[in-house]
Amino acid sequence: MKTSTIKVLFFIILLASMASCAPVKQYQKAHLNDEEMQLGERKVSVFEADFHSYREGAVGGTIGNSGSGCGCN
Amino acid sequence: MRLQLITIFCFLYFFTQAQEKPVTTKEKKVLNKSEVDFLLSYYHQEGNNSAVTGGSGTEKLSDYVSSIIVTVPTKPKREFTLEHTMSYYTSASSDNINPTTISSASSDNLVHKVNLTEVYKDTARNSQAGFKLGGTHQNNFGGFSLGTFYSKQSENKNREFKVQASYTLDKWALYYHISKLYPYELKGQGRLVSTDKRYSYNLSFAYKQILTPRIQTQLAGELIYQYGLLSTPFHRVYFKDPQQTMAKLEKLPGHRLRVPLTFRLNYYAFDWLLVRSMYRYYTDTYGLEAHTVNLELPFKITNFFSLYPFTNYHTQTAIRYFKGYKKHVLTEKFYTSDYDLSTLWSIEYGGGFYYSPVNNIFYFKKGRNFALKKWEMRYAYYKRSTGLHASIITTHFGFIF
Repeated sequence: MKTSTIKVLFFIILLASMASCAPVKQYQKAHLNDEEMQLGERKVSVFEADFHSYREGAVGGTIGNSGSGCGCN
Repeated sequence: MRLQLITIFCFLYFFTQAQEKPVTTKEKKVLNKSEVDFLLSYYHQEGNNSAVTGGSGTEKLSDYVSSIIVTVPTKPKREFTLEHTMSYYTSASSDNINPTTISSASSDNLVHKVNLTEVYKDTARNSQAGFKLGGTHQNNFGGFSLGTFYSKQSENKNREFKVQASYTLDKWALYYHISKLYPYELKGQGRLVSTDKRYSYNLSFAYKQILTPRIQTQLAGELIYQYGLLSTPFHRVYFKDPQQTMAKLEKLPGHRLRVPLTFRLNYYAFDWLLVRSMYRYYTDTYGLEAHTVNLELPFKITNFFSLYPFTNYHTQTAIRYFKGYKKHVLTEKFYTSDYDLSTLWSIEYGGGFYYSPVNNIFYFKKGRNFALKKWEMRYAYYKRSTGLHASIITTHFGFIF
């Protein structure tokens, strides 16, 4: 992917993330509080993330430790 | 399994006995329930580009993993989590380090990981802080990590910022000299690596933003700086120069900076359909650049039961030191034939279910309530452009007491 494409992509992501929206009230958060709406990996997929980090060169990006472990097999 | 149960009972005993003063009735009312998560997984892969045999040779591997995560709120604003993961693998490529021994039939292939997390919650300031301690142990490898984190929510709890820092020290060959890990034909050639340690420093952040009553997003990033032995002391590399018929040990630069950036968006599209999505961009100083996209679509069959298909697509460029079997030349300073670091794409797809009824799946009422609160299961098939393919099945039981 070209550098310019990446820059545009990140600009869009940043805009979407930082967008100032009308504040959502506590009583409007029923859907957001659903466990499957939580951001981040499901507990059941944690081992998949592990093997991805071994079988592919990329790691991290989710809040947590990246770096330990052998991953040599 | 027995070790995990002993660990948990010791942990529970320690934290129920070690409190300086008894928890008052008032405190008991506001304590959350303790949780125990139990995970089991089976992973199997097949391929023909093992780095142990220089990029050509079997990568057959099976891995059996069990994990227990115990979360105990010891005070209304304080919580401990202990996690123990045990993994047993059989690896055909590991046997090729020294074909005269069969390592996969021994206890060498048992891996233990332990993590302890303590969290302090300040509800008045909408913030949390904590620290983490971790350890990894297997016969030829050990690691130790410590970290700290802080998170702060906005007053209306629509935004959250989290920052985390950690340090990890990994060491090869815990109980003997690293030269014992070299492929058998390279033993006795003196010192082939300059150190047996790897140091990692991580600084990560995550910014969460609720956009609408149905959409929330997160931007997360990490800076990972590693130095020390970043190659693997039993990966072979074969050269095309006719005078170099014997393999050499993989050689990679001793410093590496890795930068992943992740964006997540979860959308409760309809009362019966959710969209969970993730995009990650990754780059590092070895020259590897990667893009990963993940999409998951949970269908709410009932309020408490959902079925979901998912897919994950990944593409990456090779590091500048990678070449395949017998493609390297002797004039190169660094070299590897590890196909995990080659140019590749991969696709993963599968499905799972999530079941968590409001009145629990079942419960025992004997003294203290003990209930099975949730059950998840997930299967994934993984295919890589290099020919490697894998399957993984995982189940998760979530208990409260």
